[in-house]
Amino acid sequence: MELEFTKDETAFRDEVRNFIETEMPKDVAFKMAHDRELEKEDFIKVHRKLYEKGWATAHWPKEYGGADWTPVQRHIFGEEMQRASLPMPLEFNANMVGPVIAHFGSKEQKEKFLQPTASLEIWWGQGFSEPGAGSDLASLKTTAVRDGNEYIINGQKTWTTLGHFADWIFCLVRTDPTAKKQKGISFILVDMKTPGIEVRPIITVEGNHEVNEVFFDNVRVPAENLVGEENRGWDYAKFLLSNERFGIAKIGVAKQRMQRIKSYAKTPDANGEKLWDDAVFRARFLQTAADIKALEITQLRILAKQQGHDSDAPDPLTSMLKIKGSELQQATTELLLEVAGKDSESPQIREIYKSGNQDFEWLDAVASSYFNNRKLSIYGGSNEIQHNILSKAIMGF
Amino acid sequence: MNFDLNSEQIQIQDSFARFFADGAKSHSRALKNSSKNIRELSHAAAEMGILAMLFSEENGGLYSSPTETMIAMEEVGKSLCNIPLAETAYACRILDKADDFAGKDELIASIISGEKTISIAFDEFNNRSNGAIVKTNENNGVINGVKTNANFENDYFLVNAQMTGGKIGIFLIANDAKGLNINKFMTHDTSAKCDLYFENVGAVKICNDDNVVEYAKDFAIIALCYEAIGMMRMITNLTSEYLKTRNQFGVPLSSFQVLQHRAVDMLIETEQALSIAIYASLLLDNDDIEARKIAVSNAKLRVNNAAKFVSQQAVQLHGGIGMTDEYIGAHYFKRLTLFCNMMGDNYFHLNRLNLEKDILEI
Ligand SMILES: Cc1cc2nc3c(=O)[nH]c(=O)nc-3n(C[C@H](O)[C@H](O)[C@H](O)COP(=O)(O)OP(=O)(O)OC[C@H]3O[C@@H](n4cnc5c(N)ncnc54)[C@H](O)[C@@H]3O)c2cc1C
Repeated sequence: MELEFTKDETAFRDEVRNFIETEMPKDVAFKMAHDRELEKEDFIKVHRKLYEKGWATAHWPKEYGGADWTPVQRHIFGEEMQRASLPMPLEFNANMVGPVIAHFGSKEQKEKFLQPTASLEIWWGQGFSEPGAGSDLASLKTTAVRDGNEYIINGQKTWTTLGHFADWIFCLVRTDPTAKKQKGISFILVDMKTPGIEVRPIITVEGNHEVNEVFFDNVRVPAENLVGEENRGWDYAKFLLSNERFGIAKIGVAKQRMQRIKSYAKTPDANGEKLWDDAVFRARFLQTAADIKALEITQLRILAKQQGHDSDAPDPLTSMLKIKGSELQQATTELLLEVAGKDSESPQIREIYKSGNQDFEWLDAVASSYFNNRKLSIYGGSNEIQHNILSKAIMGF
Repeated sequence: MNFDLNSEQIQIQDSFARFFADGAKSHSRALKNSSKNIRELSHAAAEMGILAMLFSEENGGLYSSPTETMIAMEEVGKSLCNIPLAETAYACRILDKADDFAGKDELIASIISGEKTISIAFDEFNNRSNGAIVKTNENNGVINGVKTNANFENDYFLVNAQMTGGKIGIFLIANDAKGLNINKFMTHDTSAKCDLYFENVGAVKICNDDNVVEYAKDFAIIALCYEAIGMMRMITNLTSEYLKTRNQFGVPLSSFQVLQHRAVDMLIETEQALSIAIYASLLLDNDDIEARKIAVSNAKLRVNNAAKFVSQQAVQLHGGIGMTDEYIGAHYFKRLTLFCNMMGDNYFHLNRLNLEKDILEI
């Protein structure tokens, strides 16, 4: 047993830290650290810098621009980015479609897509979920029918995150309606500019435009855009989801928020009192901190197991990271809301924030962040579904 | 022992249910502009007798017990009506027990009839949810300071301020008073609210009896709790209906035991919240002030926790739909979230309980 990073790993961490400190846009970090919404340009700015450094897709196979990072290096990188309140490289590109194309794509697909996917010249959307196919993703109904050199796509995708920014979308579509559920599904790449596609915004609870519905009405897609073999899409999707396991718990984000909570709670209120001095608050804070520390070590245990065994098989324990990670994120947004109290009732930046000599320009987005973060236990396989996975895989129920 | 409403109260409940569910549809907090025409809504509510229920007979009202108001509040909650009735009740219960001052009878009559509206402006900035902090001050009938989070669109505000010598007094101020600056803003749950800046604003003192103010606050807290209970009732029903109709894996979601149990937990939380609110409401007019305060803080704590759990689960069990602005439950979720910080959060009420004696004599 050995808790410390190796010398090389420590040196790597310092290198990442130094790069972030000198190269990363401070305005983006400010927004993230204040729970504000990022613009398209903010994501691009950060992603491009990392791309130039070779870090946007460092976990890809080396021949396609990867850097052969170990799982621990990947972990360190994620931690440092989150600690600095920066967005990770766009996950639709870096963690989802990129690795799928690299592993299963044709030579032409690799040449055409991998470089601009790595550099974010192409922004990808994820077209999996449908109105009738959420947790039960394999019941998806969008069809792709072969017609000469093309597929004709009809149907609807939904919850497409940042789909209004997307240049391309990777979709799961049904190519064999007679086959059993998972068997008749294919993985296809679609240019968002193709005639017949319509994107409609869905406004989420806090009032932002983050997700979309995407409609397909006789959308003709070149047959060469199908990835791998027809009707094997479910396997590729499983591979894709197994890639999500890294950093799924976003422990760095929770830690960063805890730092903010602490500093706000230590700021005196109008009567000179501090919430930090309230025994009940302090107990809640410390319990959450202990839970975060435990999860961090759980994550490291899982990582250490993976280090060396280069296996693509998803570790069911990552479901635990998803469950606890999302719960702890949510717990931190809850604590933040408690520190803010009723002064966070409005999403508007109010004149009153300028009163006194303290900085109150963090109150406007606290409640929005609490509302929005409820999604963490719903998407990416809901927490109930993660419990089902653990029930089966570990408990053998 | 009897927890049933009497026949008169059942009648009131029916008419309020109809008024809020049907009559006040365009004022649902799920609509962006639900705070528009709030005066018309207040007027209509007054015509229903809702304001008269807040004043005693000697002041021309119909007050008999807190129950009638609580019945109304539960319907406000169910319908998600954008009416700040708990704050109005706070102001009215103070006014009902206030000292005599010139024009008092006329003022109360105009409020009961719905011609004029009144609310409270007690909160101040950067005191989290601790209503006890009052930096606004009064000197020779002139007010200076800043109040926050007051409900917009009222003819009058009751303002608390520190008088010379440190005691807190309650002052009546018209919304167009000279020296009063109002900054309007909109909250997450579409309440139109405002921050009030007082610069040498002349005001009439109407009360400096702390007991009256504490009583009115406790009354308003329980009113707010009943609104939350109505909301929880509604989204628990919405959720159980949704589980029955939404299919995944070829079966209704309601066939998954973990979801059945979760929905049942929502029900249990709502019932527990109702029980403690009933208990506190029955102690509001009790002579034992200590018992009342303990009951009210117990209630707010318990209802806060229920509100958090029930609203979070309503979203969770709806999946992605639960996260959308289009889903009405999301608006209940937002209101219930803000509710937890209104009129004292958990920390405030835990501290208040700690200050009371004999707290362990459960
Ligand atoms: C903000 C946001 C962004 C998203 N982004 C994307 C995206 O970019 N691309 C994409 O393809 N999808 C995306 N999704 C979709 C997301 O993956 C789905 O919402 C998720 O899979 C749940 O599906 P559903 O919404 O249909 O809920 P449902 O599947 O209807 O679930 C409703 C409730 O039932 C529970 N439940 C369902 N089945 C079971 C079971 N067998 N046992 C116990 N409980 C069960 C669920 O846990 C949930 O609580 C996003 C969703 C959100 C909210």
